Amino acid sequence: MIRAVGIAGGDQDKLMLHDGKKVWTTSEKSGDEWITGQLKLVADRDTGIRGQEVFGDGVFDFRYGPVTGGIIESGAYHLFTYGERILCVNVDWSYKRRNLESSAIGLGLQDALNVAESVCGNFAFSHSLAMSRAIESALSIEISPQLRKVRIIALELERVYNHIYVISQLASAAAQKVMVSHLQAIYEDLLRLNNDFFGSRFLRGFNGISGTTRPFNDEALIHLSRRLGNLSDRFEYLYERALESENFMDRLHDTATLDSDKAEKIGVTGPTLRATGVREDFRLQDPDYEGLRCATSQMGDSLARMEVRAEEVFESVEIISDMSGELKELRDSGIAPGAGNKSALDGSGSGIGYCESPSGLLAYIVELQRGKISSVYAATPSIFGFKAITESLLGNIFTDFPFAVESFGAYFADAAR
Amino acid sequence: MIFLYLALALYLSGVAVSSNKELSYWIAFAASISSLIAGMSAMINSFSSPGFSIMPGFSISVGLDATSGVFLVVASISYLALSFYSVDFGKLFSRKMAAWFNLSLFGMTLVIAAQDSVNFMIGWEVMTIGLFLQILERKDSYEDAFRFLAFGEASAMALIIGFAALFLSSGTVLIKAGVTATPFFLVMVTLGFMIKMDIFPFHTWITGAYSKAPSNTAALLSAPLTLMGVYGIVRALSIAGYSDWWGIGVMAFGAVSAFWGAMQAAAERSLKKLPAYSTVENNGIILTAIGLSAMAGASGSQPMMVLSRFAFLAALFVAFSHTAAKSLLFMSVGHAKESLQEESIDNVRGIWSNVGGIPAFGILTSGLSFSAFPPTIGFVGEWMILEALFQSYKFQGNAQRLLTAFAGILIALAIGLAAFSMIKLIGYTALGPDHGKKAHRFPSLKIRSSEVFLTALILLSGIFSPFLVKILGYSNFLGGLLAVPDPLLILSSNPIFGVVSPTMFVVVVGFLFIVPYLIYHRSAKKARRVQAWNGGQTLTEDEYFTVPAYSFILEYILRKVYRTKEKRMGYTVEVSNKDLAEYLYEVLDKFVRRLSYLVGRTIMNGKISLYILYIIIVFVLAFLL
Repeated sequence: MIRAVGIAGGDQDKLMLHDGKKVWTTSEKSGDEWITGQLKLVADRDTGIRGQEVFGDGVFDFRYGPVTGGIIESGAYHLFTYGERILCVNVDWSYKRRNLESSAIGLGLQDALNVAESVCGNFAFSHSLAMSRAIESALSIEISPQLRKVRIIALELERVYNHIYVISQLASAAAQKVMVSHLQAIYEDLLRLNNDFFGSRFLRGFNGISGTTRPFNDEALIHLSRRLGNLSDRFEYLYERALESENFMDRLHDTATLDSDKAEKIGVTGPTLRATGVREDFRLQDPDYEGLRCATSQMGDSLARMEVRAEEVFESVEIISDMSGELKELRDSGIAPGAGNKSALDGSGSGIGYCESPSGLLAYIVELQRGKISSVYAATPSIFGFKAITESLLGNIFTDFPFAVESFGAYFADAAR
Repeated sequence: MIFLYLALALYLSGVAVSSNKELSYWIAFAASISSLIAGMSAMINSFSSPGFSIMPGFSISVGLDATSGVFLVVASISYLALSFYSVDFGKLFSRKMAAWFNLSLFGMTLVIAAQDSVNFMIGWEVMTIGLFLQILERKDSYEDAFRFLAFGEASAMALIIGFAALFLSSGTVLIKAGVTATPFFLVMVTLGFMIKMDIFPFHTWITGAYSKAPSNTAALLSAPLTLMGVYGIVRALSIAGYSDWWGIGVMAFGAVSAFWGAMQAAAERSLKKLPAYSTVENNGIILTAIGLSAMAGASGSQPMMVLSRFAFLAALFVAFSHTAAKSLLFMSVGHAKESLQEESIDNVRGIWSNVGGIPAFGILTSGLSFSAFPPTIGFVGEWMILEALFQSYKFQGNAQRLLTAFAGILIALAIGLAAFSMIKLIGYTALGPDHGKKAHRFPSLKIRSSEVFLTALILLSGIFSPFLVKILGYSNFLGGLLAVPDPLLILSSNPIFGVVSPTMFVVVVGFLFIVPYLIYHRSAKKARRVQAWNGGQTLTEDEYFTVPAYSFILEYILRKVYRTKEKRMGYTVEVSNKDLAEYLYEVLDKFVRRLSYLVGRTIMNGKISLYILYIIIVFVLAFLL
C-alpha cells in the first residue's frame, strides 16, 4: 500500500511516497507507471542501476572501476560502447555496503544517529539531520528555534564545502590545475572551519535528538560567518575567472544534458533538478529559510549544474550570516534554548524526516519501539543522481565522463544499502 | 632465354594437369624457380627471341632486359612463395583453382616478357581472366568477380587505345625505348596501368574481390598483379621519356591514393579488406616516387638527374617490399582465416597461440614492414621516398616545389596512418589475447615454410639493403661515414643529403639491447605472469577493447570524409563508413542503367524497322571509325 505524504504539510506538488518500509520522492504529475518504475529502482538498490542494453558489431563493456584512479569510491561504471560513444551505462555499487537498515535496529537513538552520519562522509550532517527529524517526528518532540538555526548553519556549511568540492573536481577533470589548487585550499579551510566550530571536519557527532551533543557558542558563530565571508570572496574571484575560461566552459557546456521532464521522471532533486529550470527546493517549505533565493538554470547540462552549485554557495554563506545574527538576537532577547523533552525519548512511534542535502532531498523513515530503532529506511539523493547519470550520459563520449559524473555529486556510499 | 621459355611452358602444363591440383601447384613452383632464374639472368644480360612476323608491321617477340629482369625477379619471389604455399593451401579449394592459378602466372610472366603490344595484351588479358576465374571460386563472389573484371577490362581498353596510338605514331607494335610515342599514348596507358594498380579512384572493386577470393588469389591480386601495373608504367615511361606534366599528374594521383588507402585501412575491421586498402596506399607511394622521378628527370640537370634516379630507386624498393610483405600478409591472414573460419579481425585474436607462431610472426613482420619499422625492407623503401620528397627545394619551379611538398605531407600522413592500421592488425590478430577459439587443423608444412621464407626475406633484405642497392646498379647511392664502413650507408643524394644504414642499425640495436637482454635473461629470475586486469578485476570476455572501437575516434573526427553513420535500431547499434569514390560509380551505374532502359525502350523495343536502322547506323559508325 503506497501512501502519499505532502512534504512539511505545504501546498507544493512535491510528495513523499512510502509503502511503510521505503520512502521516495515524486510529484503529482507522476503516474502509476512511473511509481512502478521508481519502486523497481529502489528495490534494485542492492546492486546498482542497469540501463537499456545494446548489441552490435564491436560493442563492448568498458568497465571503469571498482578500483581506479578516476573514481574515489569502490564502485564501477559499465559503459557500453563501440568506441567513444556511450550507448548504455550500468552503475554497480554492490562493492559498497552500509547495512544501515540492519545495523541500526535495536540501537538507541543517539547511536542510530551515529550510524546514519556514517553512511556517507560528505553528507554526514544531512543524514544525521534527516534521521533526527524523523525520530523527533515519531516522538512528537518540538525543538527550539536556536537548535533549528544551528542545524541550518551546519547544513549550509555542509552544502558549501560539498559544492566547492564538486566544482574543484570539475576543474580537475578539465586540467585547470591552478584553479583546483585554490579550490582545494578553500575546501580545506572550510573543513578546518567545521572542526573549529563543530568539533569535526565533517560535522559528525554534533547533532543530537532534540539538541546537540556539545554546547555551542553563538558568540563564536559571528566569527564563523566572518571567516566564511572571506572564503566566499576568494571563491567568487575564482568562479568568475573560471567562467572566463573557454577551455573549461567548453567541456561543461552541452555535456550530460538532462531536460526537466526527464529529470522529474527520474525523481532527481537538488541542484540537478534546479539546473533544468525547475524551482524546487525542500528549504522553500521551511519557514526558517524565509526569503530563500532558489538558484536555477535552464540548460540542464554540467555547466548549468555547476552554476546552480556556485550560486548556492553564495546563498548559503548569506544564510549562515543571517542565522548567526538571528541566534545573537535570540540570545540578546533572553529566550532560552530549552532542554528538550528528554522523557519522550523512550517512546514509540513512526515518523518521516527530510532535509535538502547538498545533492538533493534526503528522507528517513523510522519506527521506534520504546526508545529503540525497530525499522529504518533512507531515500538518498544519490540513488536518483546515479539514475540521472545513466540517462544523461547516453550519446556522450568517453571524455565527457568525468564532467558528467562529477557534476551530479552522487556517491556510491550514499546510494548503497 | 631457355628459363623464360621453360617457365612459360611449365605454367601452361600446370593448367593442363590441374586435375591433380597438388602436382599442378608443384609445377607452378618449378616454373617460378625458372622465371626467377630467367629474371636474374636478364639483370646481367638482356636477351630476346627472334621476331615472329604475323603480318607486315606486326613482328612479335618475347625477351627480357635489365628492367623487365628486375620486375620478373620481384614477381617470381611472390610466385615462388605463393605456389609452394598453395601446394597445401590449394587442398582446401577446387581443382580448377590450380588451373587458373597457373594461367594467371603465365599471363603475368608474358606481360613482363612481352616486347610488343600484342604479346603484352595477350598476357594482360590471360592474367585478368585467370584471376577473375579464381575469384569465382567462392559461391557468393559473382558480383565482386565481375566488378574486378569490369575494372580489368576498362584497363585493357585504355591500353588497347594507347597501344593503337603508339602503332599509329611509330608504325610498329614494339614497346621499347626509341619508338616514337605521343602524349596521348602515355596518358592512355598510364590510365590503364593506374587502374590495375588500384590507384584512387579506381580502387573500389578491391574490398569485395580481395575478401571473397581465396587468400593465395588475394595475394596475387595485391602483389604481383599491381606490380604489373608498376612495370607497365615504367615501360611506358622508357618509351615516351620523362616529362614534367606527366610527373605532376602522376604524383598527384599517387599521393592522394597513398593517403586515401591508408585512411580507409585505418578504419577497416575485416581481415582482408585492411590489407586491400594498404595495397592502394603502397601503390600510391610507388606512383608518387615514379612521378617525382619523371619530374626531376625532365629538367635534365645533373643534380636533378641524381634525384630522379634516387626517386626511381625508391619506387623499386617500395615495389619490392610491397610485393614481398603483402604476399606474406595475405598468406598469413589466409592461414589464420581458414584455420579459424572467421572473417573479421576481432574474431581471429590470438593467432600466436591458437594457430601458430609462424603465421603470427608473418603478420607481425609484414605489418612492421608496412609500418616502416627498421630494419625491414619497408622501412628502407619508405625512408627513401620521404628523403626524395624532402629534396623538393631542388626544383626551380614553384608549382613543382609546392606539389612535391604537399605530396610529402600526404605520404608522411599515409605512413603514419598505415602504422596505425598495422598496429591494429598485429595487435589484435597476431599478438592479441587468445579467446579460446579452436583452430581447424590442416596440412600446413608448406604453408609455414613459405611464410618463413618471406619473413626471412623481408628482414634480411632490409638489413642488407645496401647490397640490394648495389645489385640494382645504384652504387653511387652507397658510401660510408664515420664508423659506418663503405658501402653500408645508403645516401639519398650525392653530395650527401640524408643517410641511413639498416645494417649498422641492427648491429647497434643488437649490441645495445639484445646482448644486455640475453645477459639479463640468463641471470634474472623467472618472470611472474598474471592475467591482465582492469580496475582491480580480470577482464571478462565482453570487456576487451574491440577493433571498431580502436578506430572509431578517427572515424568520428573525420566523419565527413569517412561518411560515418551511427545507426540505432531498437537494441542494436551499427557504425558504417562508405568510401567516397563509391558515390562516383553509383552515379555512373545509375546513368548506365537509365541509358540501357532508354535504349531498350526506344530502339530495341521489338520494332524491326527501328532495329534495322540501329544496326545500319552502328555499322556505318564502326566502318567510319
